[in-house]
Amino acid sequence: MPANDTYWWNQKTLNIVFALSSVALLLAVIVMMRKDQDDEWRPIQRKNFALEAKLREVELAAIESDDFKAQKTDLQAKIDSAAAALKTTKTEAKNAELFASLDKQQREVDRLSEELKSLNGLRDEARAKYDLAISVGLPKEATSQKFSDFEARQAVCNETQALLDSANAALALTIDETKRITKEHDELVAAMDKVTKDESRVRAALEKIQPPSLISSMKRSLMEMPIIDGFNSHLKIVQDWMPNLRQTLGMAKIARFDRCRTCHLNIDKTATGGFPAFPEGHPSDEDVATWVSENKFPQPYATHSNTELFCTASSPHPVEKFGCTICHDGQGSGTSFGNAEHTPDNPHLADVWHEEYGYHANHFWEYPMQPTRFAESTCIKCHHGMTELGVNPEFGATAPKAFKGYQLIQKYGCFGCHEIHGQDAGVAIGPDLRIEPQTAEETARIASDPTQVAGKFRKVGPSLRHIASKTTSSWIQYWTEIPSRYRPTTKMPQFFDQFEHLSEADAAHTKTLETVELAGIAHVLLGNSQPIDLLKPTEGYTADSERGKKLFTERGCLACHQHGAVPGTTADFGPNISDIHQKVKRNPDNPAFSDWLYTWIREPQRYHARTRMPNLYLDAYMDVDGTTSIDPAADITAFLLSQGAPGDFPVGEVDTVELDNLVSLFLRKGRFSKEKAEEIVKSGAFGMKKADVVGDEVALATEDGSPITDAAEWHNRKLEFVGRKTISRYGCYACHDMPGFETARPIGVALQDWGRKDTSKLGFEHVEEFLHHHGEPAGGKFSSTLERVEEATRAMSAGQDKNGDMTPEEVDREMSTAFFFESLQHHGRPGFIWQKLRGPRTYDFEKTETKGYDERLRMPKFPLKEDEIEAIATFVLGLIAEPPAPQYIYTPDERAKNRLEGEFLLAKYNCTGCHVVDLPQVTFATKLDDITATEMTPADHENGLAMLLKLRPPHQALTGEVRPYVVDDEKVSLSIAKLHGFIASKPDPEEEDPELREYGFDVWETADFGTGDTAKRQLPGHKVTFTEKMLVDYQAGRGGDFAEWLVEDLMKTRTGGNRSLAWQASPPPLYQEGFKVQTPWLYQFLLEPTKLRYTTVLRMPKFNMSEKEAQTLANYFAAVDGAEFPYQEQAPKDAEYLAARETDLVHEGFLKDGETYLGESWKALNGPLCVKCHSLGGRKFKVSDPVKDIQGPNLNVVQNRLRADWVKLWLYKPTWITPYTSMPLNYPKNNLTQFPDLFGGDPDVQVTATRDALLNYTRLMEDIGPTTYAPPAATPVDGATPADGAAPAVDAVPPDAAAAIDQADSSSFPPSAKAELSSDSSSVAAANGDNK
Amino acid sequence: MLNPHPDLTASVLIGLGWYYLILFGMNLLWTFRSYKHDGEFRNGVPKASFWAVVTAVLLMTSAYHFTYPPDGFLIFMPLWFKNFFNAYFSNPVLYFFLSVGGLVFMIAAREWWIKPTVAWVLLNLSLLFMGLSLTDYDFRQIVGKPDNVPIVAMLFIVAFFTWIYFKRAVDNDRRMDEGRPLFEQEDNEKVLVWPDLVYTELICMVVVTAVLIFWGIALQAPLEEPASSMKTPNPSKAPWYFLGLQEMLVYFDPWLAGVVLPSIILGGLMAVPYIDFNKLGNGYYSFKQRSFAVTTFLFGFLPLWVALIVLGTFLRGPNWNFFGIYEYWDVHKVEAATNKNLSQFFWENLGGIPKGSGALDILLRESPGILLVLGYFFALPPLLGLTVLRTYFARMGVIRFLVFSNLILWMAILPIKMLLRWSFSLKYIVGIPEYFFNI
Repeated sequence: MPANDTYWWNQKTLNIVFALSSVALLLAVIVMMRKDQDDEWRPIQRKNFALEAKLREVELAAIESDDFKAQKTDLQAKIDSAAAALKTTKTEAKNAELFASLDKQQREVDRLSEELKSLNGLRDEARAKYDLAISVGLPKEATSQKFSDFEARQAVCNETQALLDSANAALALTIDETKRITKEHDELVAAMDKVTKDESRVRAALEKIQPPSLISSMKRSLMEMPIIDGFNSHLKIVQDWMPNLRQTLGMAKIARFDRCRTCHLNIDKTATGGFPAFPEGHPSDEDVATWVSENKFPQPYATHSNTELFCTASSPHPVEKFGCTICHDGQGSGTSFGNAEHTPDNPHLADVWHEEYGYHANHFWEYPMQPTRFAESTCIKCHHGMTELGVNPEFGATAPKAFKGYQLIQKYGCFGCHEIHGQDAGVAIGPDLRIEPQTAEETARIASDPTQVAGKFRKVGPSLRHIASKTTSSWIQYWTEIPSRYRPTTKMPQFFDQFEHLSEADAAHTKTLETVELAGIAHVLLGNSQPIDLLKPTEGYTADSERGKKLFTERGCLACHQHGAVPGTTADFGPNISDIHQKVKRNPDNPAFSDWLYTWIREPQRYHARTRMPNLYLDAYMDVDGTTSIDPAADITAFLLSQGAPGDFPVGEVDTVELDNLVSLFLRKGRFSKEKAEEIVKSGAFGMKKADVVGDEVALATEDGSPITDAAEWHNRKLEFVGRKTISRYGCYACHDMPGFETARPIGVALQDWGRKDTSKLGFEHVEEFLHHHGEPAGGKFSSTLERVEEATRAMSAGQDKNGDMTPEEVDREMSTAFFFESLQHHGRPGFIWQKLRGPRTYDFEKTETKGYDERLRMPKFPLKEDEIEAIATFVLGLIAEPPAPQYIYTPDERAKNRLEGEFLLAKYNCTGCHVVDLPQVTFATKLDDITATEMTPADHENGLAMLLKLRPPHQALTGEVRPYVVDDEKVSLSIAKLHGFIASKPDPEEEDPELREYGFDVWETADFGTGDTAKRQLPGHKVTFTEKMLVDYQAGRGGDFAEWLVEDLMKTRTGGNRSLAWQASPPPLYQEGFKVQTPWLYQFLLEPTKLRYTTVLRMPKFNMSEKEAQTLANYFAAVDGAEFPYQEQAPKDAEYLAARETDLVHEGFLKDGETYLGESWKALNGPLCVKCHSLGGRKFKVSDPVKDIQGPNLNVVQNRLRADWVKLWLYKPTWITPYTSMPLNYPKNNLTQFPDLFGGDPDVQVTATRDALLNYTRLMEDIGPTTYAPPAATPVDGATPADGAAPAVDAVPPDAAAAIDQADSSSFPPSAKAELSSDSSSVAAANGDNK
Repeated sequence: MLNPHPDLTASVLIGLGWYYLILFGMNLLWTFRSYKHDGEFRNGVPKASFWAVVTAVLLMTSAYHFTYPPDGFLIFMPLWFKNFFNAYFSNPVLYFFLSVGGLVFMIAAREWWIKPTVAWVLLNLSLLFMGLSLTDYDFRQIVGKPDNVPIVAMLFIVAFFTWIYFKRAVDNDRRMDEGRPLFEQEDNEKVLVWPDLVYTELICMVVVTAVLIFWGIALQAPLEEPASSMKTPNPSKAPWYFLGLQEMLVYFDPWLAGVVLPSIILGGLMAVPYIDFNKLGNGYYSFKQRSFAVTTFLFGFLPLWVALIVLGTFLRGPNWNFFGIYEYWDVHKVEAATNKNLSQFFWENLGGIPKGSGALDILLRESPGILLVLGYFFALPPLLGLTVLRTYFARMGVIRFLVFSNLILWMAILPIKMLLRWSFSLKYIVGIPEYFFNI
């Protein structure tokens, strides 16, 4: 049919449909644009502008005080009147002419400068033409033509320039003249500007945000409109671009763009003084005015915490360079809450966020932001050394949780099974925690490969190489089964008896199998144990356990170990050995003694070559009476064993059927069929020669392949086979040195990239199901972890944390559990590691049925607390083996490197067990008027003070903080001060008057109170007292727990309450050791400690450290103090110095003819001063008064040991360096008569001379030899006792030093002196007598 | 947050409330239509009253969804049904047979299901099934993924157009039986390009644009993790329209499933007009006159293409394992896949597979499969031409018949291979991995 005029569709309907659809399309477009503008960050930026405006308003209000306004009005009035006056002045005929000419001249200058500008242009063009002519090689005529053109132009320019110059000069004259007239007015205006400078600045800032005029505010609104806002609007994405800090997206590595600051606008804003400008907090409402008045700002408006460390330009991590996501992870390019991939810290917060921001976890983004609890784990990306995160002199512990995880991994030796390889083909990829090479071959192989670095960690458990000499089979089995049953504080994990995930029947069966395995382990250990030559005390020596206890207490054992018989110490570096008497093998002929224990105490390395236990130099010595030999090691052994009888350790009976089953099972895992395996088990015929067998089956084979017919022998062979298999299976060699397993490989998963491990590769199995029904300790509050977590989240949503029904600790703990549980449910890494550490075998829940016994999980259960698990998780999750660009990796300079490595060694060898390395710090409140400055006494040298200030520069004690206190019923504001030093006295517990409850504190540093002329200065040795109420905070020092404990103990037992003497007998604090000792000496000393002091009751032990370690540790102290290292020139040893010195002194008249500088110095040193306490110049120390005299260290070591500056300061005033010392002030400034004929009797010169003599000691002994110098006027030396009495110790009771310390070098020490030195030797002797 | 897979949440209930409200609206309109057209039951009650009751129930259901909190909610897919469904319907064999059975039923019962009321009931039932299923977390995860939404829509669209076809075809067949003119002849108005064609096209453009924009706003682009060759998504899926092809990869070597078969499909479709000798059924709907062509096409399109897309989209999960629609996509699910080549079967009882890597050794090893394949493609067409398809052979001539029969055989190879795999765990008929040649 042909087309006609009728339409198929009704046109009107079509029109309507078209109209409607067009409207729909328009609507779609509008919705789309609306959606596009609907960014979450826009309202935040708007609110931030409001916040900023509010701040400016507040600031403005503060500036515009009434005074300010009055001042302004006053000034304005003056300006007005001056202006009026000026106006009339200007109209005066003379002046009118002047101002008119000013105007004219100004215009002339303008005209001329304009003209000159165009003329200069023409001149430049002519010059360029000439230059071009030369460069294209035009003929000479042409170039000279061009040159003359240029010259003509230059002449015109010069002419005009001259005109301009003269016009300018004229103008300047006129201006000067007019200025004289307008001077008053101008000055007033300038004053006004100065006064209103701040106001104008703040007002300008405010008006930028809140424009005062309608047009400007319309312009501002216009800039927020869609499309227009693309042209540099004030609402915009803020972007940090880090092209070198690349991020991995799938398979691409791309530059990092962080847009976090689009919302977190104030993250790097600091106020004056470096404080956060917007401190984070929870203000009481949503109003910005409240935020400002409360000075609390919620995120995203708040400033980052720790601004000295993060974000700000002056911090080590400025946000422009680092961005945000390198530390926080998350999607930096995201500009909404969800897209940024924020991660809640616990499920409750997730719920809150879900309500507030529609939060949901997005598993497609592989690196969501770290929840707060793991914030520190990303530090590890760049800080591979870890130590700087835990010990940092500048910033303190910056990542304590990650550092704690690192320490725990070191403590428990996780790396024994789980390699944490910090290197990838020679490139550092993360913390390197690997076991050191175990064999010489391995060491050699690594040494020959330049891309390899050897591991540096020792196996954490004791060596089992000679275990047969140490303990018994039953103890091994009893211990291994459940270590904490024997020693609750042990770090040995539990491999056996973990049945929480098993059914009752399975558990019972497993137990019988484990009994077999335990017997097997003991069998292998004892069977493989190698013989060892044990040391023995001298024949006939009778050990004294009472004396042993005293020696045990004083000789340093308690720096690492605890023992129930000596309560009060807290060291846990070594095991708590209260129970050691139960386990060690005792001598068959003398059950009260153990040669093994004796050997171990006396020479630990004999038993365990890589032990960290040092050699304490417990060698035998002669008693004070010179007749009785004392063997401290034997006495301590006797003491330890006297604590009880050997333990009785029940072990399970080996089920022979199960033994056969196990043997058969393991054989089948080899290459044997079921039938063959069973036949072997039954017949005892392995059928192969021992030499042909590889692997643990060797235990079953005989030399010639003949069957074993003896049933007992076959039983043992089977036990050995099972034992070997069990040891291999559980990887016992990861922690213990075991013969035969030196080359065995770690059995666990490597952890160096575990933080990025694909979660689909984690075997969650049925652990979730397990936690639905179990997972909490039996008999506890909850029947399952699920219930616990549900209860916790319920309580949180019910607001029980806010009502105070839950303590903050409970909230932390429960929310931590909830977080991990939820992570586990979503198959996250944190959840996995959490439960793996809580119950490693629970992943076998309902899996044991379908796997072989040997396929069961092997990870043991460590005695970890919940917070420790979280710390370990923080560390392990930070192991990602994906280091950023090298410039971002923390690479310490030489000094910092030595400091950090040294810190590591301090922890490794527990140096801090004995030595204080950071002084305690006390914070107290005080009235500034009450502070007494240290007075310089007439005896003190000004030069000495200068030296002191050089070595101990003043430290500002006032924190700047002021707190309100009530003193005598009066409200006062007291300043808060911080000092470093030691507590000297504590309030008497019985004293009730609070005013008399006082603390005494020995200051060890130079402390300034305030600045400028009014500042008061306290020098080291000053004693501060304050009442208990004023004590704000006391932070114990780092290290030295044992020393401090020993001091208290010695005060009771030896020094009669004298703290100074007790300190002298204890391990010295190593405060500013770097300024004190020469590095090469310290290196030597660490490797081979010699006896230094005669006052101490114990000796520096010899640690099992490498030369490299000794070197690092020696450098460490210098590095910490900023002293020179590794080598130092000691000027006094320098011939040039000595010659110059001599010339000077001759010149100044201190040296007479015929006197040499060193010669006179040698006399000073050998005078009747030093020798009083020190062996010196061939003369031995003589005790004239056993009560008063204390022997000082031998002086022949000074030249190699001590630094010149330090020695000088020490001689000037010893108590400035060590407040507790007994060394007196020997050369008081005011005593000119002590050595009147030496250096003109000037004590200042004598100090230097004595120092120089000490540092040239050997040379002087060689050149001059023993000298005795007696000053002409035999003034008693006692008269030279320091005027300030800071060292009264000479009069006090010396400690029973000689009885305890090593007397190996008794050749240099007459026995009589020793006898006399010992004040309470009679009591010791009496005690000995009693024992006999 | 503690239950990672909540079946019922407040937002799901509200969504379903809207869902049932739409269903209510649809049925309300249907009730009016029914009142107008359907007449009365025998007892004089209008048939529309049934729909009125359904509509009322739907309204109440909707209201219930809007008002009830997730705890203690009563309308959801019962667990026993889900377990039953997951247990018995989650294997590809049953799925394939059901889809073929569905096709057979569709053709056989075409006169029944094209009735508007029947179709409406079926539509309602399928929507109700979906509504109930949506109360299941795992079902929602699969169906609700933004890129799977079009496939859900496709199910209904394909059903609708198939229904249109059958309705028209059955109508025309009936007309032809009764000697009445065809529907197309009765209604053959020609229309103007403007405004009837171009104007409506313009309107369609505008509407489609608006719909796409709204869709784009409502369902965000389903971005997943950044691509990485080290870690590919599991399951790794082709675009939805290729999922049928991807399903073939389960049964065929990639070169066959990915190269040869798609080429043959394209070539075959192009060849269809030249093969088709049936002059009837051109320009109008009819089933009876083109029953072979339609059946063949529908077999190739519905079970072998659309059904496989649905299978690939909704039922293939991690590791390309088959999952029930209410089943959690657990990566730990393992399905035994120990398949054997034909040569292994063949030589099993003849002393083992011949060893050797020479070409002749391989040929010998694979000779049974090679012979079988050669026989399939070379011996079968003449055989078919002489027996079952004699009339076709006669009317087509040799070349056309050979092309035709080969295309049919190629189409059949997929179900044949599937059957062999399922019944004998047959991996390849010819397996020469040495030269990347497997059939």
